[in-house]
Amino acid sequence: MENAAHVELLDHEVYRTPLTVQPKSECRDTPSNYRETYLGPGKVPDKIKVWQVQETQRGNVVARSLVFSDSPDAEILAVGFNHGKSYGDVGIGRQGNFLQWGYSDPPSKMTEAGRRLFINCIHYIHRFDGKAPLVRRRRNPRVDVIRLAPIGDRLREAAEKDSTLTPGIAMDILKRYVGDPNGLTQYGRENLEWIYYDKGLRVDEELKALGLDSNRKVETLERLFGLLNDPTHAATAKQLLGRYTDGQTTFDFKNGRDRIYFTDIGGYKFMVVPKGYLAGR
Amino acid sequence: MKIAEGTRVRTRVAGLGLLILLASVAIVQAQPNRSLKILYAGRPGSDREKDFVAFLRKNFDTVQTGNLQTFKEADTQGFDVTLLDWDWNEPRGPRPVISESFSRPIMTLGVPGGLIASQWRLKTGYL
Repeated sequence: MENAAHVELLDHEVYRTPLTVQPKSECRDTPSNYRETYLGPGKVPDKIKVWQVQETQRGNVVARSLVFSDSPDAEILAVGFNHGKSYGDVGIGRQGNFLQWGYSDPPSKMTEAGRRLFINCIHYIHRFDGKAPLVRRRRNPRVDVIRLAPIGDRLREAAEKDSTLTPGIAMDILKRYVGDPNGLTQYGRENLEWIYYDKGLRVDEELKALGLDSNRKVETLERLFGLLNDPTHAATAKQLLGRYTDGQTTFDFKNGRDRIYFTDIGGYKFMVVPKGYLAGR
Repeated sequence: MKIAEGTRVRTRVAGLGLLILLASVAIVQAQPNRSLKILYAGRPGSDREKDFVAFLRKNFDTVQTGNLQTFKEADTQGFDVTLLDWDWNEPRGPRPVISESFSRPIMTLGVPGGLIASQWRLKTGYL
């Protein structure tokens, strides 16, 4: 990551409280890696509007943005302007009671806006005392089927040489697409809503066969519980509930529906936000 | 007529009072809470530690230092926010161990912070 952040999150309260952060924005040439990783809408612009956080250009780190929306305990506070990772990756982010400041300069080399934001971040994370993260990184996100597809053959070959390696995508799927990265990409794109993890990422054919359009919708979870009463599908529903829950046998679909979420990286499971966890945000 | 002028004057005074009140509220809101107790656990004696601590002491009344090399959960007792840091972008810095139930406010900084967050399997970890 370079020494700057994108401007699009400046309306977040961390830029206003307790200090007002007034960064000077500037336009920089769009890094080439952005063109490969930009997911839209439209095409990535030729210039990116950023604000400078600190002096030093190198030696800063980003976190992967794709996983932040996966559970309600995390948020992006600043998108890091970078030449090495993906469009949208995170320069400053929070999960539960942890806030990562990805810029490496000490305060004497920060801009005034950077210093003010740093102070605000200290105040902001103080509000999350007692709010431990809801999930930990245990699995790759489903989009990795698409991201890893171009190197699918290399992953397979490495795993064949060393059985302790896990190639990310399930080996039987990689073997199905030998020499065909485009086919593997298409497999991922067309089946993204049914991807789960079983010795690697793969499509959940059992769920798909039930006619359910996604494995991460609360409606799917509710439907699976309903199918337990259907003698034709009860066994499959029980198996799938075992796959997508941690053994929880009841969910409050009526009064607690908005607290149910699905996490890829937390293990491809439905989970429930504890009562009061999101209060005071 | 006199009554109308008096009303205008009272309205102006009230308006001015409101402006002053709003301005004071804005000033009050702009002040950080200096009473937050801060622990900076980094590399003892480093220039970087001095830089951070000098800055933090300008903004907070209680700032103490710790050593990331020996950091443990109990060190955060008595502090509102703990900052974990090491040298600039040193990737071989210490990796403290904490439990998954640990819930005290932590700010991890730079490359060492990103690597610590990775070890703790957080979404904020380095890619």
